[in-house]
Amino acid sequence: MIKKKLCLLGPLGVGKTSLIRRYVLHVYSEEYLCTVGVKVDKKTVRLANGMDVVLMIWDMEGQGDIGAFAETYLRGLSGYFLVADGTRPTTLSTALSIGTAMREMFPAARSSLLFNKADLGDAWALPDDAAVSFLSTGNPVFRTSALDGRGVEDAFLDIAGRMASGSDG
Amino acid sequence: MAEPDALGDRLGRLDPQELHNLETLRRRLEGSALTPRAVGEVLPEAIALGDGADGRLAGPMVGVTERAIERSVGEDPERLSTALFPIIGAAIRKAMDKLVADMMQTVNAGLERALSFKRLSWRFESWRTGVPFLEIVMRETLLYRVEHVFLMHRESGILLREASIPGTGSADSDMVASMLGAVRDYIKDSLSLRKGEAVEAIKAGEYSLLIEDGPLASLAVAVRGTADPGLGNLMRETLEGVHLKFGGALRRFSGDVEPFAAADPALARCLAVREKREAGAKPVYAIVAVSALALAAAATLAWGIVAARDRRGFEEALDAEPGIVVARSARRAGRTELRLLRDPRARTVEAVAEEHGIDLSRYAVDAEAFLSPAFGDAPAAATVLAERTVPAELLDLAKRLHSLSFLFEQDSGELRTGQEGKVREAGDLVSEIVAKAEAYGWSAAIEAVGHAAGATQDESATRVSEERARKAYELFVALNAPLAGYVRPRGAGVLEPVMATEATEQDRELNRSVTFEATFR
Repeated sequence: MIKKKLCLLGPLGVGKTSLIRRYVLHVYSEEYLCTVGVKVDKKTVRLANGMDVVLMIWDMEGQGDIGAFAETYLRGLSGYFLVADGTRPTTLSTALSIGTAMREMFPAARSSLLFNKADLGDAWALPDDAAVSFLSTGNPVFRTSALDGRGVEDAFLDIAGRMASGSDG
Repeated sequence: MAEPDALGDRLGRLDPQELHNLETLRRRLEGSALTPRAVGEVLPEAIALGDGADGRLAGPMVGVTERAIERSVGEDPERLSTALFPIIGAAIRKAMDKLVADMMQTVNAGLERALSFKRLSWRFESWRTGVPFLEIVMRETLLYRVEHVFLMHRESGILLREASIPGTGSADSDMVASMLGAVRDYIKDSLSLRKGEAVEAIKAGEYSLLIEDGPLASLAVAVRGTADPGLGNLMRETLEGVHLKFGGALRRFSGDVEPFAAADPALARCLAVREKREAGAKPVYAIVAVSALALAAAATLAWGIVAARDRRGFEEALDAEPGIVVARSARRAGRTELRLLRDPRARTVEAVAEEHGIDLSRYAVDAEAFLSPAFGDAPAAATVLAERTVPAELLDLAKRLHSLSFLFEQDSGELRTGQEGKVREAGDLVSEIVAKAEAYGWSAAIEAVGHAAGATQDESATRVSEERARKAYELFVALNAPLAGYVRPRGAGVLEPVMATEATEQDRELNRSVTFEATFR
């Protein structure tokens, strides 16, 4: 049995908690996010090779940067999602700057960039080349929707496979 | 001096032994050049020889060793402290044991001077048995049971292994362990604790969480009752053993928890139980002594004993009543405060008091409604817990929701085929319940309650019922994501059966199920 710590990072209101609610079994109420600043959920994923990976998914209170509090919670992670709201371009630049700080702190960790709220097609405000700079880091980008579920399972499965294949601690 | 050819002739005439001696001589001459390789080959032997006779080598080595340690600590203090952790713990504990033994002597002397009814009986037992007085005090007051043990990776907080007393399962252990780490970090950051300081205990009600940290792993135990210092020692020994045995695996840890399965026996040893002795097992002498002291007490004390007996009698009568559980009892300001769990179908507290001639004005009774298994069938919670106050329309919806029983395969968390259609129906009902409850000014909470067939509430019954609850919950959430916050899964094992008796196979099938129970507040 492989267990991996996965963190969801991104500005307030981009839908991190909704993505988790869509995907995992949760025991702790979302009030923990307001009180403790973090909530841990769990999802067991079966990879294509038959291996089971238990993801310990840490949902953190929305933040504009990696503050001292968050840094404590990030310890020992194997991967992270950077989440941006596809209808708000400013959230993408915040997510990318968090990504830059994260790559310095955890160079071996796996990551993905999620453009969330893909169901709001009419309000989509990201330019066509929005993903270019992040793709150059060698990590993938997904369009996701916590509402209709598109891309969510793919994103979790993909990062679970990459975390399990690497000895990234 | 001989010419080269002449030297070659002479060498050619040497016998093999003489040639071997010449080769040995040549090697020694090469070795005298003190190359690092040559020194490396002879150094261990030279040190052993130099230290063997009179220990002269130790003197010059002192300075070098000290400087080497100083440099190692300067470059990375963690490395040396991690290496020494298993040894330092044992050494400190040995010293502390002696300190505590000395302290016990001192405290013992102080306590010997203290007089109270209870302590007099303990003093008598100490005198009779020769056991130190303080040891008896501790034995009589420190009662506990360790119900869960968690071994966690220090850095990531990931649960490596766990051990639990059967039947005490709670929330998902992986999540409990991770959240424990998060909460400790939160408290540490909030209180600005220094590096090396950590939250070592968390107390909630009758439970305590005790945590020991090592450099690479942490050990946490959930204790019911009041633990004694022996448990702390046991935890430290266990953690040191884990570091000794799994130090390499912990340093290389990348998510694979299987290598730590060998730690299970050590964790199981931490499931310690410290229970109070049975009253009947007390020596006759002690009972006689206590009785004699009781007879000598003042009339007011006698009255107090009678009152206490009445209280105990009343509490026992309440506890024996089907559908009533005495959760807590305390004396405050001359009154007895009783905290009860009471099924609305049980007799009233007033009726029980009247039957036993108890004056209820001397009691403050606080009763919380609950569903008791004593009444066999388990109807929708709402119908019992709030039948007089919840609007009839909500009760009707709750009953319809309850009747949607999701059936599962035997000994399995797999849903039987043909059940999927019910998931959408449950979603529609929950959606309606939530909306209508809000319109009536109530808030609805729904539990997906997993059941198991059978009569014994053991670990496998609990596990399979939890698996069923989770499965039903996941199916529900997959189709009804916006309602996820209103529903939570819970495994009831065999304690809340759909069918109270399992006379037929059909009854057993109905008990291998998940029902959705609505409550309103």
